[in-house]
Amino acid sequence: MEQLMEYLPFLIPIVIIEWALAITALVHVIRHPHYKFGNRVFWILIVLFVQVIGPILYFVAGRGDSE
Amino acid sequence: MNALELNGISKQFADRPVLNGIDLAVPEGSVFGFLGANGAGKTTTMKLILGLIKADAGSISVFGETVGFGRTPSNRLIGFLPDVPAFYPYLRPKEYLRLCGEISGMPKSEVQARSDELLQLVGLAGENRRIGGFSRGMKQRLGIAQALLHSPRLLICDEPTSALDPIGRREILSILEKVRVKTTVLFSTHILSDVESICDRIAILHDGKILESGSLQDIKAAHPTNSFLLTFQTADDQARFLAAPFLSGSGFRIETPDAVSIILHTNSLEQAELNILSFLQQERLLPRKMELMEPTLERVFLEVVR
Amino acid sequence: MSGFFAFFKKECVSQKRTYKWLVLGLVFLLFGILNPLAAKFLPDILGSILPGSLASAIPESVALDSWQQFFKNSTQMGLLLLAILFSGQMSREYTQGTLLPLLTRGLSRTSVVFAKFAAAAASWTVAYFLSFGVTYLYTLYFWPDTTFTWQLFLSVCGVWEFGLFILALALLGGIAFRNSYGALLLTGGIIIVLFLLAAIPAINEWNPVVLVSQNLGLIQNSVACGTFLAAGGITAALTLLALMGACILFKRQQL
Repeated sequence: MEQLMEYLPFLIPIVIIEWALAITALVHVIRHPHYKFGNRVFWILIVLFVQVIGPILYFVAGRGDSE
Repeated sequence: MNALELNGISKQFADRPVLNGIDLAVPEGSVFGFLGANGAGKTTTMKLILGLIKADAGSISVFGETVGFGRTPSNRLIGFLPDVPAFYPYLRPKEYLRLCGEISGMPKSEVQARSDELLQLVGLAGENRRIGGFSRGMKQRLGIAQALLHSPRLLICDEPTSALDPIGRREILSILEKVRVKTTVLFSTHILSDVESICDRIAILHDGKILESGSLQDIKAAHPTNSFLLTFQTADDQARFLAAPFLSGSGFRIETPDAVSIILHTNSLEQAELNILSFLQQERLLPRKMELMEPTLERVFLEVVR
Repeated sequence: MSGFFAFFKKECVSQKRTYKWLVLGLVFLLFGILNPLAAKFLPDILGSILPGSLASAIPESVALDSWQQFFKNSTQMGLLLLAILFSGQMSREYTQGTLLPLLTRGLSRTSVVFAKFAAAAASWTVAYFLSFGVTYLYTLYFWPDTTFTWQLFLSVCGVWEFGLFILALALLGGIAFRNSYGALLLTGGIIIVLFLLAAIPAINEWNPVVLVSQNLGLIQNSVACGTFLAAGGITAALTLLALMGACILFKRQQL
């Protein structure tokens, strides 16, 4: 527990980055209903539950072309 | 002076010939309709004019300047609207026009003023969405604004109306009408009614050759239809007329588009007219309508490409 | 030249609005924080779960461990992400025909190639050195006796230069094959060939892969600076060659 407290100042920025990615991706998934593949529910799950890789996968491969 | 001249242009892709010695002259100030079926080579011709692809033979000049593959100073005189204008979906219309203006080397203030003016003209003023959210017709209109941005002397549009619904088509045609005052317009199409409504000159491209080229009136006059349309009151009257003895002679081709109408194609207009009138009088037949059919562009086109 | 700057600006807006900046920036920032953290706390965590005799055998972590993490992440995940993000930038122009109206109004094809490269290179530079900066600061915090040597600097620049090489290859591949898979294939193929060539000792010193495989060696002085500089020179030449090839190829293409 003591060790966890020691890590905390460094874990917080990491958690913030992970959530920033996830939430940006989530907002995009919800506002743009067209995807290169998969559907909305699929991408919401990926983006929220696969940390870091999920949102990257969405922005690189899943995001539809039109705005 | 001719806005555009093509002399003996040939082009083949792999071993498939597309254009076969094309000659074309577009006089300055005209609205020129470039007609042809899908796949006739219209787009290829336009890409050649823009120097995007390389001709196998022949020469092209735009306002007297020779065009070559990859060497295209003449493009500053041309505005081009591709058949399906593609834009970067993440840009807004104004940003896109600014990009175009900067590439054309226009001063900032001029780009600003011109793009406002043109967005007004094409009905996109105040449209601040990203282009990705635009409809087909809106993209086509933005395409025209883009093509006209640098005040070109020649506007080339590739099938500007084909993909649009009737309202969208009407909008594009009326924009082209407005533009013609200052700019020579060349547009390709397979929609003949569009040509009839705004063009004064046409060329018909078929199988890689120009089969007909000149003013719309001259071309129509050169292809008189020699056809009468008669519409009777009843089907019975139609049958009586069809039994007329003079019709059995050679020199007539008969169509019956419906139960009461007859279309007569004839070789000798005057003789046929006499025969018809005297037969009607003799039989006391009164048709509801009798007319000499106008040559339509559609007829001319079908006749030419047959 | 005005065409180059206009297109460069467009490329930047493109990267921003297609979320390339976001992904690149956040991922490299994340690496930046994770590198020193993993180096510092992995031994601690292991020590707390292993029985006492084994735990005491784990050596205390040093700054070098942090750099090891940095080079591992940058050269593997980092470069892979870079290649994937920028492999599609030509194919989209081809398939959608978005370049046509711009080329017909006088944008030179050379400008297109160099503007795309410059914009991608700029993003890579910012993201990579952001990652390095963060790692450096954390490393300094954990191991205050860390010094900034010019071997470290050279080593860091090597990976950066290799990233530029990858961007040039992706551009060349995108133009040669007109799609993003072709771009990835060419980039991956050439890099694999270079790694295979690294097995030949005679030309080993001149191989660009030195820049991404000998980083720790350079810091620990087991690899000579000269080797690194030679590989750097070759990589710069190859990058220029790839860009020139891309220009020549692109100029000849009928669109």
